[in-house]
Amino acid sequence: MVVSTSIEVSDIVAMIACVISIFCAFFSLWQAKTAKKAYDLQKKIYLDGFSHLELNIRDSFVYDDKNEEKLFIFFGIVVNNLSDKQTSIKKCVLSLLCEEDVIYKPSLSEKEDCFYKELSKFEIPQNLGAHSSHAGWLKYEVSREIYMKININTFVVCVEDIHGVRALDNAVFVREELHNYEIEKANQS
Amino acid sequence: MKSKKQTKVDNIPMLTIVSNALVMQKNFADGRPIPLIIIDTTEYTEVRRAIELHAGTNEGEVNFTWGRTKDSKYITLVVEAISPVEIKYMIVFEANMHCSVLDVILKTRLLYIQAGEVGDKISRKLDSPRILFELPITDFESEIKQILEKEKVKSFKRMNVKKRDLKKVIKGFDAEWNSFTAKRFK
Repeated sequence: MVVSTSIEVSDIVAMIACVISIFCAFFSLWQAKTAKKAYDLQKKIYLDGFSHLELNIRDSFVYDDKNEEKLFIFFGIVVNNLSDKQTSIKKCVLSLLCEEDVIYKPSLSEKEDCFYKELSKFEIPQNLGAHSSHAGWLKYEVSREIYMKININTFVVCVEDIHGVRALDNAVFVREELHNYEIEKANQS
Repeated sequence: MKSKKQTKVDNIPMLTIVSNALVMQKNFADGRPIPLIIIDTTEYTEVRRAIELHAGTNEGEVNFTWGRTKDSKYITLVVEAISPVEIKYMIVFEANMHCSVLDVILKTRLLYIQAGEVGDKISRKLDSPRILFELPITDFESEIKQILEKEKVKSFKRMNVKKRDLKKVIKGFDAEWNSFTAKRFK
């Protein structure tokens, strides 16, 4: 029996087809990798478009005037909009987490006369452009009677935008500024 | 009390506690009890200086990292101050001796730190500069609570409390301790 060892035309065609197939396979893999990168980029761009807020409490204090019936709690906050789209802050809520699982939410104070002029108010609603920040002071009021009854463990400030996205920050220690608590001198007879 | 030999871990000074107390003040932090510790800064004057400088400002930026030794005998708190003074040091709490301090720290998340030396008493050093730290909640807290519970059981066993009475005694102790630490100076 004689076995032919010469390469036929059909063999050459088959080899060329095989090489082209391997080349196509590598090319497809490279395309898949590029498509995945493009997908990840598009996904990130899509997620960046969602509202994303960040809140930081810069400073805080309790204004306690002995002659006033109410105490005022001040919070200096910075709100950052990390999204590609502009948004607007519609709500700023302060929650006082107290002992025995009591959560008390004081209201924002509208009283102007004891508001320090040098502290810029954080207006509500507050528009925030894309990738921008805004700082200001929030003032809440609590009646003295309630403030003395509750034992506050943590102060939590939560801001919410028009899309319902929230950001919060908390403070454990809030210094107290006392006014009109000086000891009166006894009248000398 | 003899001072333990202080060493450094990763070049971070290890500071032991020489004295501790609970401080309550009207119109301050809502009158809650704040734990105060005096740390031994005899060999580390830079830590003492940093505390003195920091005590003069109203705010600062500090990072905290809790840790423990392998045998859970010691609980560590690494204080990394970024502003107003940059410094890093580690405070070492003995789990059985400073059980109460750690418990109040976890409850109030506040801690006063004062620099001092062996033999200092808080009552004699009331005017010394101190810093009030606000500690963030971390996942490590549950581990600290477990260590403190075990130390509590060990302490009562050392006092010859019988095994069958242990639960009742611990419950009673917890009720008393919690009512004491829940008091506010208002």
